[in-house]
Amino acid sequence: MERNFYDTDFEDLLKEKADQYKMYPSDKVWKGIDRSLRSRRKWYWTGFVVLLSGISYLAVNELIKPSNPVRIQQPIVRPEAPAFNTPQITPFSAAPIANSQDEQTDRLVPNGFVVQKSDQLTTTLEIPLITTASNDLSDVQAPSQSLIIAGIDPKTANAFNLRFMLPVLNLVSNNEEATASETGGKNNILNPGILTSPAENNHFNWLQDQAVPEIKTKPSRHVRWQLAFSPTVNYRKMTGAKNARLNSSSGNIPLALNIPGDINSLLDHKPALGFELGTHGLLSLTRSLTLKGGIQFNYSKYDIHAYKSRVELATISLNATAFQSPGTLTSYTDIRNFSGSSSEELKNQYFQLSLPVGLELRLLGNDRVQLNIAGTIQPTYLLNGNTYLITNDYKNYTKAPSLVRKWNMNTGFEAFLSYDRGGVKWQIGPQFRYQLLSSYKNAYPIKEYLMEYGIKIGVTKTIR
Amino acid sequence: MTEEAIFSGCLINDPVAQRELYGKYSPKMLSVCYRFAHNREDAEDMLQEGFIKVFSQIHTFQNKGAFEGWIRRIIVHTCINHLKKNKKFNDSVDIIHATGIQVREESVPSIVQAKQVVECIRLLPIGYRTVLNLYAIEGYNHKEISEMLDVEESTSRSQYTRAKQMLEDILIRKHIIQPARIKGNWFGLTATGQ
Repeated sequence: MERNFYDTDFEDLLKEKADQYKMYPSDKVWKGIDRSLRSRRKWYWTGFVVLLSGISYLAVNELIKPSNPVRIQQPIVRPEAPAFNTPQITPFSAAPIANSQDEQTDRLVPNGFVVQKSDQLTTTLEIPLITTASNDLSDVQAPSQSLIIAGIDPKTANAFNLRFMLPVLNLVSNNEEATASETGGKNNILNPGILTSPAENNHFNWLQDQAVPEIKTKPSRHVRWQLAFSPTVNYRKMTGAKNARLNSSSGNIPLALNIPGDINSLLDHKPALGFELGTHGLLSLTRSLTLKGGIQFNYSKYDIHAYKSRVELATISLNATAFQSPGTLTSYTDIRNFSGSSSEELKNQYFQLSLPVGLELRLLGNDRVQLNIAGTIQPTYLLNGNTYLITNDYKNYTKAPSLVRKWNMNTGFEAFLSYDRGGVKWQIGPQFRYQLLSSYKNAYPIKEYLMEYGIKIGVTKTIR
Repeated sequence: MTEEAIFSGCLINDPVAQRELYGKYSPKMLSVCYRFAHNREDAEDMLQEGFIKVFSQIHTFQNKGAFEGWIRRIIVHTCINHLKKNKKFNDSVDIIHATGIQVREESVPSIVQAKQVVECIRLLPIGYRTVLNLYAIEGYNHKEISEMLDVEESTSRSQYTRAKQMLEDILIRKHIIQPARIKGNWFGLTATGQ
């Protein structure tokens, strides 16, 4: 067969014919694509939730959950000035109490619990001692000795309030024997029975007659770490559009009449559930005032009831701004506000990261139960969003990511009841969060301010 | 919806824009897949896989070329990967030695000439068909084809030559082209569009 092929012609014609051919895929192809894309998003959020859950679990285990199965309140030790001119023992502090769970360890652990072989749990209290030659407490040196009280019953330990002033010569002479036998000469050990037996307590009572006003200590600035979660109900407040309303575009058939009235009454929106998850650091400024700062994630959304229609033009008129002259933004949409071929449920969703900074004020209560209020200001960044904007004629919803504000400012208020137990504080109370700037840029004539109402549940751990 | 609006919508995973993009390009892309695939079902699988890649990688598209061309490249690579994954291409590598292959005498619908040509291409053994598709229709050169198919460049050339000869025979046998026609009029019915 004679072949007069010219390669390029053959290939061009082949390509032309191949490109002319079109096939229409079955519905199941798009369904498969759509399912895959949506499930990927679900996996993304599932992963996010799992990550947050993991962090929370670790935080609870490592920072909040007490390492001691039993905790007692730190004993209060009040040093008192001597009434007569003798060398003075000045307890510095009662150090935190630690614990040993090793049942085989029937040994003395400074500032800790000891589980004796009889399974009886006891605790040890170490009080650093200093000896001074005068009443002047300002010139104290680092403690060279410790007073160790061992064998205290933890159930009663939180009840005692040590007040003692010992003639140091007696103590030293008494302790020298114990020191030599128990701790190698470094610490002083008292008989555990002293504190648990009323009769033995009389050894201390003779000192009470010589009590003098206690020395005021400078309040320590506690640093605490908080993890908080709030299920929230989210909604929005909308304003504006009066000055920017447009007639429907001539390309937008059928034409919609301009509809007067309050925008809030013309849109069918409903509140929806969201949540807030955050972690904060807290610094006690005074006994009742605390500075707080941290990071939090907010998922806000509200529902939109709309209608499906054929694809039509959606026009948004834009305000003049410092960077932009007035104009219009035209896009295509198949979603109507008022009527259409079928009902369509949409969601306006916002995924935000905030850096709240604020103050907590204790109104009522004692060290254990308190009523507090708090306020924060929250610079906020929009991580992601799925938002539908209403057109100026209120006829269509469309998307215009370029009009969505990325940086915003929120403010939060809360009141909560807290319960402190063993350095871990649990709290619960209502909170309110309000967005100070519109969700959209100034060019968009309609303003939207997000609001969140929620119940915050938090747990706070004292770090130091 | 303009292409720009579709693109912007797809960037933010807007389902309406994604559906619009799919509706606009899927017919053409399915025919691309069909030329590579064994059957329509395989072609639809390729198309689905390809569009999932398109939507998930759309943020990587840079306005350096046509959007359609970018989509088409993803679809073609998806087809090749699909063939490799299913070992359909590897199993037919021996086509280098497959001279004198008998072309199936299936009836080729003569409804539309473009469809006839595509159906004739699909009558080629899969190895020939793949190289011919990539070189003559998709515009890849032999070096690129050799890298895509993990074969020597010379293999790609020789397979293309054989594929072209075989396709010519089929087209003539089906009376779609006439032998010894002058340049530019190989397809006898081109002028009339019948």
